[in-house]
Formats: sequence, structure tokens, C-alpha cells
Amino acid sequence: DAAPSTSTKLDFINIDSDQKDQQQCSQYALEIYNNFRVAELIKRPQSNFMETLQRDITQSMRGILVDWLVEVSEEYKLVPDILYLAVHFIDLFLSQNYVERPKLQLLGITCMLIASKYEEIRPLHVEECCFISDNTYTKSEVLAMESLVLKLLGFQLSVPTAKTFLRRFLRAAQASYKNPSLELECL
Amino acid sequence: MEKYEKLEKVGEGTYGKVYKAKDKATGQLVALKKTRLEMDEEGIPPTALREISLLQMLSNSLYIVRLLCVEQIDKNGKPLLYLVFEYLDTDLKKFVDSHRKGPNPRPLPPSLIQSFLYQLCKGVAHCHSHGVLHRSILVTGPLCFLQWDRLVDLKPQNLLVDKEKGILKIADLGLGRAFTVPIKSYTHEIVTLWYRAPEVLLGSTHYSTAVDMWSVGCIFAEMVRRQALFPGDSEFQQLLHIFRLLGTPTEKQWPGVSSLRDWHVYPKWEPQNLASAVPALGPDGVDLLTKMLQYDPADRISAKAALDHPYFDSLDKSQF
Repeated sequence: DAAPSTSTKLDFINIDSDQKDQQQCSQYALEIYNNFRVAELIKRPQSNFMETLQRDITQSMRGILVDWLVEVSEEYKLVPDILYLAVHFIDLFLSQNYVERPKLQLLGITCMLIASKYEEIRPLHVEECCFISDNTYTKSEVLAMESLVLKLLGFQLSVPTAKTFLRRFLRAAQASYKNPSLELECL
Repeated sequence: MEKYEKLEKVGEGTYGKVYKAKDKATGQLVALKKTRLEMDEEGIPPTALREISLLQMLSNSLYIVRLLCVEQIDKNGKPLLYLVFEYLDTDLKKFVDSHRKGPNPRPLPPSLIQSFLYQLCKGVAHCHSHGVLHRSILVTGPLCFLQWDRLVDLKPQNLLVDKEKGILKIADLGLGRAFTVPIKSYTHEIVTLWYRAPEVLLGSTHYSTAVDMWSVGCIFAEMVRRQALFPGDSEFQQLLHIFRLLGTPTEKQWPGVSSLRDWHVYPKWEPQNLASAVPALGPDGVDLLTKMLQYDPADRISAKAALDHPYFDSLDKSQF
């Protein structure tokens, strides 16, 4: 039962070895990420909602909406997680609800509002949401949409996004660097 | 809310009322928490959003109180949010009180303390392994989410108990406070300090899962003693209570302690024998308690590790 002679022992760096660093939660990091992997599978958007459910909007309109949300996120200096979370909420909503063209931007900005409330210490204000969408929608329209989205999501906002995993992967990727790039760490 | 028949009011906080109620269709008992939201301007408050979604995520554990559903309703143009929880008949504070006061004062059975502590550790381990620190989100990256809310609130009042079945569950992930008021008013509120970890009391800005384990240790001791281990009435007094029993911490014991923000020069107390504070507890229990009450957070036992401690060897774990 000897190991094949060609194999050499791989040299792993345990990125969770720093038990003293309380902030990195080394003791629980592995389990936390395993639970994220499970959570990711529970509720995910359909990959084909544009073909099966939506008739008024298209892939490129979704693309334009996301590009615009990137700008909003930069303009208001929101933490990057918010953008990922908002796009996730938009896709979940579009997987289950038929949305007409004039309401797509309302959905987008409302999901951004909800995500910012979840992640930010100082979230977006409803008024700002109206202002950045050129007052296309009233405050009460945004609030009604918020209520609708939350109902549809069942208030399940604690979900992992690509950003959640990116953080972990970057940590692993930088494990062998003597001086980890701060730029990557803060991405 | 016609689905539920209100039976009696069981609590009232600043956040709203809590009713014991019955689901008319199924007969199931529930706890209804009514929250009047200040939703006129900004919609659902961020604190409510976070707490509800955290509860949704954690509710699949037997040791976390189950949030059955969230009902948004509109009452005379005023938005109301109802949270529907499973109903448990008492909480750990009332339960322990009933063993100290009243017609029949008696210690809690050691096997029940063991079982309750096991369930508490299970619940805390579940929170921690989902990246949730009681009342806050853990930091899994360079962003510090802890700024949201620095209060730790694992205390007997927030642990619900089913007396008949001997079940204990973590409840109220801070919803009560979270719903009411903006964070700034927290400081004016009377918050119990008895279960607060020394690093929090000393103003550390970098704390983690270990703060909850300190609280668990204090709750463990309280079940054995039937009174609080460190009943301080101010942050300063709280630290003195701790230091008098466990000794004033030294740099050797807890590297970095004297550079924490609120560190002062304290009288130098020698550590007392912890067993004398919990005379009814056997050596395995004292050993576990000692590991939960380590000064250096990095040395403190984790909830996961506590579950494997010899103190629980005599417990029938198959029931959990």
C-alpha cells in the first residue's frame, strides 16, 4: 500500500492557521464557507428567465441596468458587496415575476436600496433612489416595490454572492506572498 | 392577522407588544411580535432587515427559536410588521428565578444544567458557523461589519425554555432593540453588563466569537449558583467583579491587555479558586467553566470544542 513513487508531497499553506487573529475567524472559516456553499444552492436565480418568463425586457436591458448600478455604486461609494447582492436580488425577482420595461429600473434601484440597508452603516435614502433615477418614480413607488421584493425574497437576504467567495479565494491566492497586495485584499 | 387568535400579552418592550397566540387553522401556539415601524419615510428599517434575514438563515437549527413567518400588513395606512415565532413557555431567567425564590427553592438538577449548556453551545456553534456573532455579523474579510452593533446580548432572558421537554433555544437576536431606535440611543439604554466579555468592557475594537463564549460561561455559572456570577452595575464595577474572582489580568496572561482603549491601572487581585464560586459543580464542569472564562480571547474555548469537553461525557447526546 505504498504511495506511487512518482508522487511528491504537496506543500499546502493553511490559510486558517492564524488562530490568534480573531477577526479572521480562523476556527470557523472552513465551516462558514461550507455553509455558504450550501446556502448558495438553496435559492438561486433561474438561468433562463429571459426566455421563459420575461417578454418585455431583454438580456441587453438587464446589462444596461447592471452597468448603471455599477455607476450608482461608485457615485455613492457603496461597499462592493451591495452591488453583487442587488444584482442577485434582481435576478431572483425576475426569475419569478413578469416585469415590464418601465419598471425594470425601479426594480434595480429598489434592490440596491435593500442591499444597501443590509450591508451599509449609512444606507441609501429613498429620496436618493428617486433622484438618481431622474425622479422617474415617486418615493411611494420605491417603498411599495421594496415591500414587494422583500415579500418575494421572504426576507432572506443573508445570502452568499460571488463577492463572498472572491474574498476567500483571494486570501488563498495570496497565501504565499510575503506582502499581500492591499488592493486585492480590499477588493 | 385573522389567522391567529391572540390569547394573552406575554411581553411588552419598547419595540412593541408580544402576544401568545394560536394559529386558528392548526391550533399551534405562536408568539406574535408586533413591530410598529417608522416606515413613513425610509421603508423597512435596516436593523429589522438584517435581523429578520439572519433569523431566516439560522432558524433551521433546533437550538435557535424558529421564525415561522413574517407578515407585512397595512393598518389604517400605517405599515405594521408581525413576526410569528414558535412559542415556548418561559425563559432561562424566569426558570432559574423560580428555583431560587418562591415556595420551593431548590438547585437545578445537574443533568438539566448539563443538557441546557449543551443545547446552548449547539446554538452558539450554529450561529458562529454561519458567520453570525450574537447580534452582529462576523468578519470574514477586511470589512468590519461589527460597526453595526457592538452589543452582545447573550443572556438568560434571551434563552427560551420548554420546561416539559427540557429544551433551550436562543431567541431574540437583538430584534427588540434593533427595531426601536437608532443606534445612538443604545448608549442611554440600560443594558445588562453581567455577561459581557472583558475585551468588550475594556474597549477592544477587534473582538469575535469568543465574546459569546464568555457569556455562555457566565450563564453556565448562573445556572449552578442560581444567581449571577458577575452582577456589575457599571462597566467599571463589572470589571472589578471579574478581576476580584479571576485575578487582575496581566500582560503575560493576556498579551496586549494593557494597551486596550479603556485599560486603567487596577488593584492587583490574585485569582481566587473558581470552584469556590460554583461549589455544586464537579471537576469536569469547573474545568469547562475555566476554559470559557479565559481572559485572552484567543485562549477561550470555542462552542464547537466545548461540545466535546469531558463535562458532557455523561450526557446522552443521541437526543440532540
